[in-house]
Formats: sequence, C-alpha cells, structure tokens
Amino acid sequence: MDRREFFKFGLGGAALAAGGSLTPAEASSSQKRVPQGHPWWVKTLEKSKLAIDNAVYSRYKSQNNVFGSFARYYGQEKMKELYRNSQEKTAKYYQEKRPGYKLEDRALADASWVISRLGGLNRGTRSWNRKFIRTPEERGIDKYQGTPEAAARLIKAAARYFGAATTGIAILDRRHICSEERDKKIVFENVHEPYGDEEKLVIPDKCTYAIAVSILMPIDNIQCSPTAISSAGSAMGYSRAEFLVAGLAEFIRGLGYTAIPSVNDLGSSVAIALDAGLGELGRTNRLISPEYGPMVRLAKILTDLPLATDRPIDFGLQEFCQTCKRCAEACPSGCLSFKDEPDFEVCGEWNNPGHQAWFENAPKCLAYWRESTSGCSICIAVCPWSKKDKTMIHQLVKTTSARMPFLAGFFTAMDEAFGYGRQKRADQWWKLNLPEYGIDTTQGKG
Amino acid sequence: MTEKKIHSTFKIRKRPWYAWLLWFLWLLWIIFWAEVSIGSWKETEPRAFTIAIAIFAVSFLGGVLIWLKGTLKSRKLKS
Repeated sequence: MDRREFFKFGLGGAALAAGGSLTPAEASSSQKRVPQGHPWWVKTLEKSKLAIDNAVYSRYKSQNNVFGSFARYYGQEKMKELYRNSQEKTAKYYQEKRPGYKLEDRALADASWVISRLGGLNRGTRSWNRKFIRTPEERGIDKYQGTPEAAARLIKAAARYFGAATTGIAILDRRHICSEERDKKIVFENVHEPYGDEEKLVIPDKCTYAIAVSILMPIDNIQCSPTAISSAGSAMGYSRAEFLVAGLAEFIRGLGYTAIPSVNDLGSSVAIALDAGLGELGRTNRLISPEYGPMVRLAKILTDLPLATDRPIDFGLQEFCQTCKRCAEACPSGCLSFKDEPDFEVCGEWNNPGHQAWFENAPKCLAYWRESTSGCSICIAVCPWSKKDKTMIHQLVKTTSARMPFLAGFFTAMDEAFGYGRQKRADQWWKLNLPEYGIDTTQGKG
Repeated sequence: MTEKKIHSTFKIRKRPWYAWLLWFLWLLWIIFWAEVSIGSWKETEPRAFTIAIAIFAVSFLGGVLIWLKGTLKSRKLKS
C-alpha cells in the first residue's frame, strides 16, 4: 500500500465520510483512477461551473492583450519612464550583488528562454505544417484508424513522453481562438491543410478537437519570486512547452492527421484547458490544477484526429478561492481581484468579456514586472495549492478542501502559519541538489 | 537449586477498550507528524519542519510520560 492508498483508505476515510453528503447532485465522482486521470477526490461535471454569457462571449483580438497594447493601457510616457527605471534598478542591483539579480541569475533566466524563442505563431517549432516527419501516405500505409478512445490514450501517452504533466481533450469552442493576431485575421475555412499568407491564417474546419497540456514549472525557482531565478522557472516552463507541442504535433502528423501547435499564441489556453478538465479557474484568473495548483504553464494543439473528450472538473477550488485571497493579498501591484465571487465585470479591454471570472488589472501586473526588473510569480508561489507534495498533509488538505470547502479559511490560516509561500533565498537555489529540469516528474502521478 | 527459565514472557496489562483506542490514535498521530516532519525537511520548508517536529516531540514525550506514570502506578499497587 503506497502513501496515496494509505491516505485514501485510512486517514481520508473519516474526512470524506463526513464530506460525501456535500457532493453536488449534478456531479459524478470519478470512481477509479485511470491512467493519467485526476486524483480520486476530483469530480467531473457536464459543463464548467463558471457561466458564459453566449450573447457577449466571442473571439478576442490578440492585440488587446496586455503585451500587445501595454503602451496604450499604461501610457506612452509612463511606460518609457518605467523602462528607464528598470534599467537603472538592474544596474543598481548588480552593483549591490543582490541575490537573485546577479549576472549568473540574469544569464540563467535568459538562457531558459532559448528553446521557447524557436517558435511563434505558425513559425519555427510552432509551424502549422509538418517539419520532417513521414506521413502514412509516404510510408505507403493507411493513416491511424483507432477508435477515439484508443487515440486519446495514444495522445496522452505521447504528451507525457514529450513532457506534459497532464493532458485533457475537448471539442474546440472556436470562441476561444483569437479573431486576429499580429495584424493577421485567423479564420476557419473548408481547406485540407492549415496555411498562412500575408493577410490571414487559415485553420481547417475539420480541426474540431483541442488537446490541452500542462507543463510543470520548477517550484524551487518560482518560490524565489520576484527574482531572475523565478523568471528562469517561468522561462523553463515555456521552453519545455515549446518542445512538447512541437513533438506532439509532429506525432499527430505522423499518424496522418493535421495538428496546429500553440503555446500562448492563437487563443486562450486557459479556456481550452478548463473545457478539457485540466483544472479550475482561480482568483488569479489562471488555471489551478488539482495536482500542481497554479505551478503549470499551458499549451494546446488543434487537430482533426478523432479523440474521446474529457469533461470539466470540480475540486472545490472556486469556493476555496472565495475565502483564501492569499494571492490578492500578496500581489505587490494590487492587480488581483478581492471580490468574493467571480463575476462578469471586466477590468479593461485586456480582459475578454462574457464569462465569469476574477478579472485582473493586467497593466498593473505587467508594470510591476518591469519595476521588479525580473518579472513576478508571487501569486503562484503563495497559492496554498502550490506544493511539492512530499508529505501526506498536502493530500489531506487538498482532499478535505475538495469535499468540505467551508474549511478553506482554516487551511489558509494554517498554510500561512506553517510558513508556506514565503520567499526563498535566491542565492540558496544554486546550492540545491535539483532534479532534471528542476521538476519532480513523479509528483502527482500516484 | 533454581530451575533455568526457558520461556520469555510478555505481560499485557488489562486496559479498557477506550484506552487501547486512545493509544492507537496516539500512535497514528505521532506517525503522521513524523511523516510531516520528514516531508517538510525534504520540501525545504523550515518553519513547517520546526512546527511538525515540535508537535511530534511533544506528543511523543507526552505519550511516553503517561505510559511511565501508568506503569509506575500499577507497580506501586502490586507492591
């Protein structure tokens, strides 16, 4: 009997006996662990708990996001001043030999981006067309003919092999895909292969499936936030995402189907991941997974390969976030919402309206990234769901929270009392005996 | 002449069922906090480790003291 089973049948039993009666009627508990399934205390739902206003929710212009329009939202002059201050601070921190801001820290952060920079929207590793793999046609054989269930298993196994922490599949909701990006329209047409020209990028109508993948970030880095060490952790997540989507897309093409790989480009990875049951939307307006909390990056692949789909999940996260608010309290820029309930009221043009969420003031967040000189992941580091899971107490807390969300306040207070979420010393990071890529690949795998 | 002993004897003191249940819960409690202490050490969470090891130590010593007190009391009664 391993630790998980001990907990499941032993300590967890009493807690769940009491909490079982709180299960919503529309939810069905996942009765057994399936390969790459979620933990047993995660429930699956017919549809996401967060409402969508179909009259409002529509495709979003990528240029409206905070990276595309920062100067417009923040003000040209203020932005220039911000960048000037950032440069001065960088030099000052370097002179002071401040831990986390030394040359080696900055070099590590920049170097961690190196694979990520090999791809972009329909470019390089994220090309919408095959790179070099031989198609079944070229091999003189039929394309893959397995059932959707068998194909889904293949995809999940291959995704894990290429570095995915979790994988989910959903029917593509086209409203999650941007209407335009980098001055090009993104359209769906009845074509055989995806293509791009000077004016538009064309996704074939037949690409009706979306594969969502999560990539675990190195928690030891993120806990040093805000420093260049934590920035390196985010960058490592993006670089691994790049490798993952490039490999998985080529694999799908090798089976004889179309695959469009994407990381943060093309559309909302969070929305697709929610539909595919990778997690719930947290107060940070980002995905929180039951296994890794917010310690994940997301990516996606659109495909025409027929796949068995997953369903949205519920592990009591929204109820937890309603009480917790640790991320909002810890956020140095004050960009996160303190509202009790998620609602439809957006903070600005950078938010896509028409769905329920805790919307964030993204320009404030990005301004702090510049101000800190090295980005920021404090909201991820302090989240009580961000844990290394080396002790069963975390499983006990997660399980009990999922079934008895009214205990969120107590768990949040205990989390703080036990010192979780405190910034770790960046100079100590260099002395750690880190696993490969800085992540524990056995975490959350049962 | 004394006869040489060929058996070892374990003596289990008679206790009410709830006393056994309490000792069992105590055992689970200290195992739990020992596990949390080790896990927190591996997670490099110094404060969580300190709290967990303190709870473990206090609970362990408390249990040992109660056991000693009970044993001494029963020996006194016998003598």
